[in-house]
Amino acid sequence: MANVLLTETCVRSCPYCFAKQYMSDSDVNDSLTWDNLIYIADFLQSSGINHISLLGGEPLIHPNIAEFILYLNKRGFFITIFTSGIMPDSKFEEFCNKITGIPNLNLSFVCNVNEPRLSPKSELAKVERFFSIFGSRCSLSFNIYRLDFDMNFTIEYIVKFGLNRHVRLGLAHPIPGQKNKYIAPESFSAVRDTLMSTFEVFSEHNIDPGFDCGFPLCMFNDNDLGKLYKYTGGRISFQCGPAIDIGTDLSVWSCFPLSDFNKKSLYDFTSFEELVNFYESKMEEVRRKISGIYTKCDVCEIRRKNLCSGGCLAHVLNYMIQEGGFRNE
Amino acid sequence: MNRHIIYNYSQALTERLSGYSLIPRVEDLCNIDEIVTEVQKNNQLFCIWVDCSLMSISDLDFECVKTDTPIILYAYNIGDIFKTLCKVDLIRNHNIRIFLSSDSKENFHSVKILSSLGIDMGILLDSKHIDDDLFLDLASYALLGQVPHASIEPFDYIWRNIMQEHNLDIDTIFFNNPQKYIYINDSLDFSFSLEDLNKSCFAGNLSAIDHIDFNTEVEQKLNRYYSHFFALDKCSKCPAFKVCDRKSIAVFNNCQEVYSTIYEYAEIRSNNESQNHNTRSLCQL
Repeated sequence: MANVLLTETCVRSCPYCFAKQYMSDSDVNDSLTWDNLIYIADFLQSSGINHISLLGGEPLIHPNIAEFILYLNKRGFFITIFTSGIMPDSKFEEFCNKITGIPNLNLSFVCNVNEPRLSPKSELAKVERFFSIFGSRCSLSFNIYRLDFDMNFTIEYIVKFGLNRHVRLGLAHPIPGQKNKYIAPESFSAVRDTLMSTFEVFSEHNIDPGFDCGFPLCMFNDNDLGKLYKYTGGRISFQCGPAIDIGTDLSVWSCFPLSDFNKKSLYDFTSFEELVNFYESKMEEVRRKISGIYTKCDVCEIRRKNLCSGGCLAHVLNYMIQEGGFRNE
Repeated sequence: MNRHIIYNYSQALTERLSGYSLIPRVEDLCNIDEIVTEVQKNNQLFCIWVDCSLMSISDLDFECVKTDTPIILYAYNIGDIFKTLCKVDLIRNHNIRIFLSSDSKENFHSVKILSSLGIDMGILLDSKHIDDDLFLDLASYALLGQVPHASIEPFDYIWRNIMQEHNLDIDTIFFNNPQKYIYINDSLDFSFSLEDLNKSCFAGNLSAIDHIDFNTEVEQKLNRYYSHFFALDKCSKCPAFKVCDRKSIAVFNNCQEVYSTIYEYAEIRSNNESQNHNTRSLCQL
């Protein structure tokens, strides 16, 4: 599945934002054109891909968002939109009216939420308005960037607005060479404690957690892994691989934290498979030099069996940029 | 007579044209089914030309059309894209090709959008100046697009005919070829083009058409063709003369490069097709 950027501006300023560097380098007026959308759709379809993720910045502020959705739907794509759920009032009603006819199966939203106690009230009102209309299409996404995080509010949202009972969890990763808030690997064990206790509560509400890339397997013990298997229905992975993001100008990169790492153009590739293979091989080159975020990754059997990628490659590149050698014990 | 007669539809005129192959021109999509029935009583109906050149696709009512007869629709632009996208399934069900004006840059994108959704499209060469890059970009998409999409004229006509020995006449796509089409008015006077008809420049009357020497027209064309070689103008050495036939000399900044590139695209496409690539059968003029 490819992630396609519709805009390069966002309505929020999350301190952990891993797209921050990319956004600040791009023009505020950059947004995906019809021509580029058609090229991307053709490229994916010719590669046998029928699922597309739209993101930004904030994709819902793209002036043609409803038209793009309808167009991709007519071309047979399943669409997932990664959004904050925050839209200008003037556009919201029109947007609602335009997409009501598209089946839930074909269009879903992954809403990235921050803790209400840390969010402005005006944002929260807009997010809740979004959930009240699109609840059945929405699942939540939460990025962990501070150690005192509390995810219980997600349960309230899910119950109150009838959201899908799945929460995607991401660890905030560093942007190599830049400053953003993230969880350093030495603090992963503290994250683990809060996660496992939260998952117990999730379980009581039939809510499944899902891990985004970059969680190292060793941050959990065997007992945790058993529980995680149960909580996630066995759909748990500790891999870090190319997500494939496509920019508004058709530039491509592996994933946001690595947006400066071997950036290419979509025109350089003839198929999605070729694109993925390229970034997999580039990531593998780095991992051959430093196998993971911990020194113990070098001799880890789990790592060798490829059950774990050794954490997010952004950490690895960050070490390299900061004159490496200082890996966490 | 093996030419198709183009006329502004009226029931009375249709009744006087018994036995011919007809292309009635109308200005909206409503009543098309009745027109089809009427024309087919005593004539062969080649296609219907719906000229809504001042209207947007989004404002046209496609629901009133039921016929499978080929429809050539001229529209000004796509209009409200969302409204048009909502009509895509309906339009796709018809045997229809939509031509948009080359006057607007947006129309080049609109042609791509609708073609990628399976609607046969075309871009009219009706503008005094067409941006070379826009035109070539559309040609590239039309002829070398990596995913199957509906055809786009005049590029589709060019690749379908590029391997023939004679020069192409892309005006055929726009009903402007005396060898195939004649235009008549209510008095049955006929012209070889719409422009001539509008200027009341007639070649004769339909009642005497069998006595008209069409070779004169052919001869004029040949003279025009050879005159380039005598004058040694830039068309005489143009490698893409076969495609352009001097018709677009003033339209592009660099017509030679534009048509040479399209020529190349068409040959590539033609070679690809001959290697058993899948083709889609279409409503063609």
